[in-house]
Amino acid sequence: MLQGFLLGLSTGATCLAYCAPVLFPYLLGEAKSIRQTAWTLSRFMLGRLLGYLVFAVFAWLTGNYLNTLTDRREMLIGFIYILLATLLLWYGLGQTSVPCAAGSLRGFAATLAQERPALFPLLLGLFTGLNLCPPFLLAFIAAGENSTLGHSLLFFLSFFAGTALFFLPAPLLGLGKNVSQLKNVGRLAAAVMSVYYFYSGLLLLWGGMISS
Amino acid sequence: MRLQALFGYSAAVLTLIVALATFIGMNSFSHKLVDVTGLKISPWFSGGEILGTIDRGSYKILKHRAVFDGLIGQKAEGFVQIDFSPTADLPDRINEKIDFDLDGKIDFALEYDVVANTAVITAYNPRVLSLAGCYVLKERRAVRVSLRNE
Amino acid sequence: MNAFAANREWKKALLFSLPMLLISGLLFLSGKPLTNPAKLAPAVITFLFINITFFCMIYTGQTHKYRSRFFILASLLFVVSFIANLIEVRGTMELSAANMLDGETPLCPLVIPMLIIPAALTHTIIFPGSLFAAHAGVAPMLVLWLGFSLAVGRGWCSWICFFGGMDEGFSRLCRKPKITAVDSKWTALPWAVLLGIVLTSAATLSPTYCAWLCPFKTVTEFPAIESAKTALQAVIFSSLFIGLVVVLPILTGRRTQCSLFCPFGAFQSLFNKINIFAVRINRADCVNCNLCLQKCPTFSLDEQSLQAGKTLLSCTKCGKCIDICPKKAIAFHIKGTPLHLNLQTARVLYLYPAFTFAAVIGGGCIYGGLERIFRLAVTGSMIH
Ligand code: SF4
Ligand code: SF4
Repeated sequence: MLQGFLLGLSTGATCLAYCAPVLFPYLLGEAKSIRQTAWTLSRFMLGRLLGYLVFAVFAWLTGNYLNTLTDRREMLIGFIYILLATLLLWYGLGQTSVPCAAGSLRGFAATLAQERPALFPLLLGLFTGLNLCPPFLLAFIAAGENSTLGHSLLFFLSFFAGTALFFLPAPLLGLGKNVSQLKNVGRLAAAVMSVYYFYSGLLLLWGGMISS
Repeated sequence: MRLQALFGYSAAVLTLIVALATFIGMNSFSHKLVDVTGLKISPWFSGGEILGTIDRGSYKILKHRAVFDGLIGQKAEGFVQIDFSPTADLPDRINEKIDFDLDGKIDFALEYDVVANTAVITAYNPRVLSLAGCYVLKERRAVRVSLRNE
Repeated sequence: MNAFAANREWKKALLFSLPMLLISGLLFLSGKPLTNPAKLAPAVITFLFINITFFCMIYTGQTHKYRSRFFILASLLFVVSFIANLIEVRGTMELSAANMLDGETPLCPLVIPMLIIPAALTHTIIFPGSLFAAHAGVAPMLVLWLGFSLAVGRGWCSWICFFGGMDEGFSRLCRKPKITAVDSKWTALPWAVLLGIVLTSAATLSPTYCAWLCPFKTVTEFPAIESAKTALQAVIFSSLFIGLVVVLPILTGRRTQCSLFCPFGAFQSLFNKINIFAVRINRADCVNCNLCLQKCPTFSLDEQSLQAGKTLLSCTKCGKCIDICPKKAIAFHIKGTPLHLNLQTARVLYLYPAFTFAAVIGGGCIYGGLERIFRLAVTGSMIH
């Protein structure tokens, strides 16, 4: 539970960095008052939350599957941590584009925004929630370690809460320059955290090797 | 605008007063701070509160509480610290049977070689994991034993 | 300036310096064992140095020049007295696990951001120190930090931080920068590091920055190297020191550790938001020569901020841009007061609190270091 929250907190800036390019142009283009922005934002967040909960179920299923696959679970997870940390570092320092599902929504988005403006932010949220950005994958792995579906859901819920904190000031901050500096912080934080996960992954691997 | 300026200058003067007060009141402020917030050094460093004392004549054994403290709730693994003091009157070897959770049952046996500052642990309780370390402190010796949380 | 005016300036400066004479007499000299001749000389020299520095700042109107000398000297002598003291009480710069259990580590201010979440949730300080130790106990350090931050905000980084002094010292060795272009995205790194260490410290309940990243262990104390892990940590902290505190400052002429890495510096920037003092640029006088922008030690000005007449949040209020601006367009400012008016008042009101802290903290370091050096000269050894 707490772990999920902390993970959310630690990667929230990264999440924001990835979602901001999707969210902000929309927020800035659409909303007029802070209240309206907040309303749009909350629908967006609800969409994200839904996306997360769907993933919680997946994570639990995958975790269970992994368990039946091997009894060296620690080593496997350690290995995956290292892989993901490498990904995180790559995203953090490289100049890659946004690997956010909502990005692929653009063409469809235009039509939807026209026809169902109320639904649009919700869907936008759902798709950013379903993306495969690195912090999210880490949450996926961590949630997979949970034994029951309830725990897995709880984990993602708290992960969501952690990341959500970063979105709250969004309506107030949504100005050109801040976004780009925030993006930098998010990217670099991803790089810093990757080192931490890399090290944790190594420790898990090492522990697995010693005990086997 | 006038009022703002007045406020600005007053705040600026106030910063000098803050600076002076910081040094002059350092002592009393720091005690206040600790009293009000109830801050303590984390038990992961300090070893935690002392639960009980065993008198062995020339020296005393101090049992700390088991430490599992997490940020919220408890961690899966922790430790218990046992102190021996005063250092001057310790025998060369100490053999003790320790009941760390005070449930009346022995949890582990500790053979502490005071001279070499090494120890061997025999666990009777499955929660006792291993020896975490032996330390030569200023006025005492300390041994930490790793534990698993229930 | 004619002789009469010069005479008047001189007297005015003396008058403005009198309060500092009093303050430093009260705060710096009190409690020093002045009857002991071995301690008297360093105390008197330091006391004079403090007051001459302040007088020069007032008389010449130059802030950065004199502040910087004082700041760098304090930081150098801090290292001398800190290490000598460690050797005296502990026999080594290494910090053993037993020292930590004994609560013998002086609280370094850089730890403070990491303490906040655990202190709020568990009411404990995740640092192997003591609450009221004679040498940098946790509680007094917190009070000092709070007082300073309220009074001068991130001025911390150019008036009292001994680590910043080292960075500044090396950056001043640079005559002509070999590297001039530094991508502004790197100024986001301190925030990223801050985020990382605050969260990992909360998760592990130990100050992760100290264990893994702090470059200044190289010149203070460090965990005894006993395992692969501590060896790795030693490699990390010493290379960070050499890279960020020595090499890059010499190559860029900037304080690279402070502006591109230090998480505490980023954290202190937040206090600039609530602090009453700021640095402002008078757009009417500015000719956009960009000199300030190129010379700011901490990258705290960019084109946009210059156009807006403000510095960035990270400004350490060191006064360098103010001193070097050829049009005298930059000045210290008190928020809420009319812009570009009463500049001297704003400056003096800022210098008093800032230099009070510098005189006591920096003065203490200078005295401590001088005292060791005197002892070395007289007895042939720095320690008892
Ligand atoms: S940035 Fe860090 S090291 Fe530099 S002066 Fe500020 S606190 Fe000190
Ligand atoms: S903006 Fe000016 S006062 Fe602020 S840190 Fe840079 S040079 Fe110093």
